[in-house]
Amino acid sequence: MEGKDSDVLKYTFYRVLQLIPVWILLSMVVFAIVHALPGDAIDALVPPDAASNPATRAALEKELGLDKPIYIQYLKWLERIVLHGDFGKSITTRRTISVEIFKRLPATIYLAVTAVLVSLVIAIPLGTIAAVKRRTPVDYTATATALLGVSVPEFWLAIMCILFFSLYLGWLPASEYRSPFDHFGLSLMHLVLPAGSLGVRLAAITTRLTRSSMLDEVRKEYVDTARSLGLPERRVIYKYTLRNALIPTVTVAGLQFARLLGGTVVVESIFSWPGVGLVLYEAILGRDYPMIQAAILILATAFVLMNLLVDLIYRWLNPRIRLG
Amino acid sequence: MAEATVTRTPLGVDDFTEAGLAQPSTRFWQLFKNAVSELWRNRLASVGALMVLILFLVALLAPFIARYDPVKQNYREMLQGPSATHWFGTDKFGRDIWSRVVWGAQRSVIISVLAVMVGILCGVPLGTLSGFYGGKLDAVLMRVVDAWLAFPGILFYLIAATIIQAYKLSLFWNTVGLIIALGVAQTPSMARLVRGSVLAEREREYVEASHIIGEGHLYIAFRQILPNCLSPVIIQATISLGIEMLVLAALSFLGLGAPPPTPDWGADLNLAREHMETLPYLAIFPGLAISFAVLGFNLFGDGLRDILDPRLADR
Amino acid sequence: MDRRQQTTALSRRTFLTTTSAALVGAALGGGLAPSSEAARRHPQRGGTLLLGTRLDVAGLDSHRNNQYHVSHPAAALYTGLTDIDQQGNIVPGIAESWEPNQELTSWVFRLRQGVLFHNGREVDAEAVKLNILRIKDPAIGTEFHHGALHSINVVDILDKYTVRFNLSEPDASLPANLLHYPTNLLAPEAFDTASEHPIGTGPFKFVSWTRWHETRLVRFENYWETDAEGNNLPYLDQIIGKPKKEDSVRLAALRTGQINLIDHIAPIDVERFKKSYGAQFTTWDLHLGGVFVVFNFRQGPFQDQRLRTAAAHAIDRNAIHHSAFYGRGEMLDQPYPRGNLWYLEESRSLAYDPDKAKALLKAAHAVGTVIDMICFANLAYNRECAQIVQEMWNRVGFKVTLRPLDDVPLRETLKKGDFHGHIGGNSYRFDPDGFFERNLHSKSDYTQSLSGWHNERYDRLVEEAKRILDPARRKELYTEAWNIVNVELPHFHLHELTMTSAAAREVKGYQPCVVGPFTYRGGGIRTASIET
Repeated sequence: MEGKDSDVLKYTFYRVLQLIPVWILLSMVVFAIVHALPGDAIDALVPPDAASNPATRAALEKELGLDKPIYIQYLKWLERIVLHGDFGKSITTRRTISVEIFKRLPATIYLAVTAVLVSLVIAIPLGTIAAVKRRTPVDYTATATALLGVSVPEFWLAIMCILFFSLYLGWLPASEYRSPFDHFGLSLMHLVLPAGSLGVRLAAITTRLTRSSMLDEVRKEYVDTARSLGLPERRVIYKYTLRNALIPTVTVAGLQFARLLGGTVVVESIFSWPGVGLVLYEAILGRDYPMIQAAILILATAFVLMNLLVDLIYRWLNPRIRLG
Repeated sequence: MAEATVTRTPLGVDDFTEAGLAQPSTRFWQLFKNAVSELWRNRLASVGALMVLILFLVALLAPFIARYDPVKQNYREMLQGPSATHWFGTDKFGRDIWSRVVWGAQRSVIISVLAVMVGILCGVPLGTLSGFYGGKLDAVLMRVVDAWLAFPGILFYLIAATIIQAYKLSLFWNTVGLIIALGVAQTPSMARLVRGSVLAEREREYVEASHIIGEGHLYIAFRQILPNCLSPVIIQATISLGIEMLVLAALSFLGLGAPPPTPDWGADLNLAREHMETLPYLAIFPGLAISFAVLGFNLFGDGLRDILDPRLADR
Repeated sequence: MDRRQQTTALSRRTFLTTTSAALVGAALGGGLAPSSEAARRHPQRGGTLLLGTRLDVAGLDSHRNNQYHVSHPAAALYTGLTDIDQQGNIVPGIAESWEPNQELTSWVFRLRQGVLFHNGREVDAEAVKLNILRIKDPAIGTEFHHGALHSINVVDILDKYTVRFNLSEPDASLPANLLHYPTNLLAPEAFDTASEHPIGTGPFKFVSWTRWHETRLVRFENYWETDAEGNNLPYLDQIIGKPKKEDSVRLAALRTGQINLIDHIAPIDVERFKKSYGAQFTTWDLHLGGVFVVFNFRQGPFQDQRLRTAAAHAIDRNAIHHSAFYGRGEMLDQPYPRGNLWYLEESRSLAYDPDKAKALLKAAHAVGTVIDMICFANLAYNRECAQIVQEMWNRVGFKVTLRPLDDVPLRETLKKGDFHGHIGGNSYRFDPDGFFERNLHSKSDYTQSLSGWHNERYDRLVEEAKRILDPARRKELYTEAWNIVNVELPHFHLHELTMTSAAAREVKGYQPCVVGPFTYRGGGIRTASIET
């Protein structure tokens, strides 16, 4: 198709541009959290001893701009974050928030990446087989398993896994995080249960998707052509069909990864996995609002960016999709 | 995507027949009868429907089938395994687990159903107006929806839980807040879905005809187009019910749902964590309950998808 | 298994006026290795202790956040003027001796020479004074800290190693209050960075901390304590604290070898663990303190004594004994357990009588009163006691909403008095004054952040008990005071807090103090090593 590349470029530009109002809306919601709470904003933003002392309270209110109209406060807050990367200090630990969060981002990413890889490793073979052997017991079993996988709460699955693999069989450690840079083998052992619990659920979704996209591909003209040319069935399926069918699968995997960046809270909490999800959870329990805001903003931004990235890669890979 | 041929789709009419301009109610009764017979033919969906029915019955009849007060403690009967007196056993406070599961079902069902309803009530008009009018309104609304969708669900729920938690609310208002939060999170996907269908329907001939006759815009949008776009909404709603249950369980598990001692599946799973090794049955029953409910909704929703929109069915 | 150890006031008195402090010091090997010599290490002892605890500090500044030496790994960073031995007796710490005046209103403490902070600065009288002032600063010290030091009025520096505390009232319990929990020492030049990198005087130095994940501490080479052969303590090369909130996760980590020492096994798991794994692990049963209900006198329905009385009558301690503690420990109506010197036999407390409770509520036209109860979210026993109490109060006609809270929100809510009832816990108080005064005297900051109770007669009784040496007479006074508490009900005690600690066999030379702490003079982590 003529001009296809330039269409995609235009689309890319358009989407990147759209990112800005989306992110601004996001930031407004995050900013508004503190102001939606009962009481004065200052009590949510600074440690209690500073807030209850009349002298320091007034000074801090001025410093944070809380005496100004709300849109000015928002702009000041935004400026500090965007220009200086300054999210302030945690109310609980009194340490710099950006340091705390970025220290823990690798653990979440490590977990999310592995979970998605696990899910692909399960889903692609399973979905392909289910498609190839459709309407047979194999297919039904795979579909039923997939549906079951989506119906089980992931924290329950995680608990059952700990019970079985860690306590009963004693094969795997129950909680911990070891950085892959410290000791790769050990870190993998600790990763299996948490990534597995997450990955199995994702696999359920991806299996069905692989299956239906394989079914779609198989029906396409080029497959009949290949068959009529006498190419072995195996080659037809695995070399051509699968490759094309995988595009939506991989896309969805990318989206799942993006989702996971915000969605690991529960698993991190169960496995004491020191990621951003756990930080957010602890911050909520501890009413550490500056930390809550920072964690949510960072996670949501990561999500939006990943979303965009995946979408753009998909469009580039599959020029047959209509743009816009 | 407008098809000129008349195909038998359970929902939607393609020409200017009397039936086409007939009142929605007759059309729905028709399709309801169709749907039931289709359902019967699809095994998995029937199972799903049955599971959902059981769930709703349990939720409805909770006051009658729970054998004990779910919050009443009795240390003399603590930590008993399943038995004739306590079908699911008792927890460490001596509370009957069967009763807690049953009341938990009521709570889950009420919250999920109301949340999905909120999502529909907010999302459907939004999507309809956006799809119908198009242009500037559509562009703006869809950007808002984009940002809304861009927010990972869990983060949204956590924000809501944070705010709800900060106000010292009674159980009732706590629950209301939860419902609204969950419903609002559902809204953008509903809106997007409806908008897509409305955009497609908008091009149909009967719509143009209505315009020519001089029917009001809102009448056309809501009384004529919308009823034809409902199948994806119904399917999504069913699946959403399952999703909301999982989200609710996760929030309660994290301690952000109901305050103790409300019987709640997620909260009970959290309590059971302490005794994973010694008393696994404490975790098994609430977990199974959640899975049962969600699986039922998923199977049923899948089946509905096959029935209501054969174009999406697996071949 | 004798887990209840008495602090005998009489034997402690002998420390104060004689040189037995020095004798005790020598017996514990507490001589100071001159800093000019290189630290002498035991050739074979070392290793890394992997300490699994059920709690973690809320922040590293030890004056703003309690460093609980039972369940906070970071507590290994600190020591104080006085210390405790394995039996819970107050012994010299950084101060090698102390002496009060006749009226017990002025105390002179003599510091050891050559004790260093982790940054190399010597601990001198000036550093001590700055620390005390900082702790007493209302913007910094917690109410718990203030409650411990509230009798200190002025701190005088007599010379480089001598400090004099001038008190606002006679106080025989001062040495007990200067223990490293909560009165620990930070290097004054590092006050401002204490939240980032605390500099203490303890056997281990700070390396890193991530809340609820890991606390890394490394041996402080210039720590002053030595063992009997003159080797420097501690033996361990490093401590890695691994806080794990859930009991089952912590226990599993111990069993699978991820950690080698834990502070607490859930009561329900203790018997099974001892039976199945007793060969591979050492366990200790410890008395920790007590759990009690706090009624708020500052606001809310519990300002009415009839409601408090009804609430007390509504509680069946048996439910707590079985459901929350699984039968371990004993039901108590006072802070000290049976067998302890300070257990008050003559205490008359309210019995379980739900009918009476209901009648009282009816008479007060208070059926259906809404009660806002708070508890500590991070401790299982606390949450469970709260739920049990909630249900029992609901049964007699209250309507209780329960809010479990994390460290900082809990402290704030207590301080503001924004609650009606609270489930509180107390650690073992080495001197009874540490409980009867700190928790209940109207002038104590800690009291003001709990019940806010004020009873003149109680105050007088406790003040008098502080001035007397004779334990029998003190006990009489405390009994009379406690019987006032039993009627007025600022607190209502529920149960003993016990703890079962466990270590893998590879951990040598370790036992916890009988009342819980893992760091104490001449033992605990200071004398522990890992056998390879």
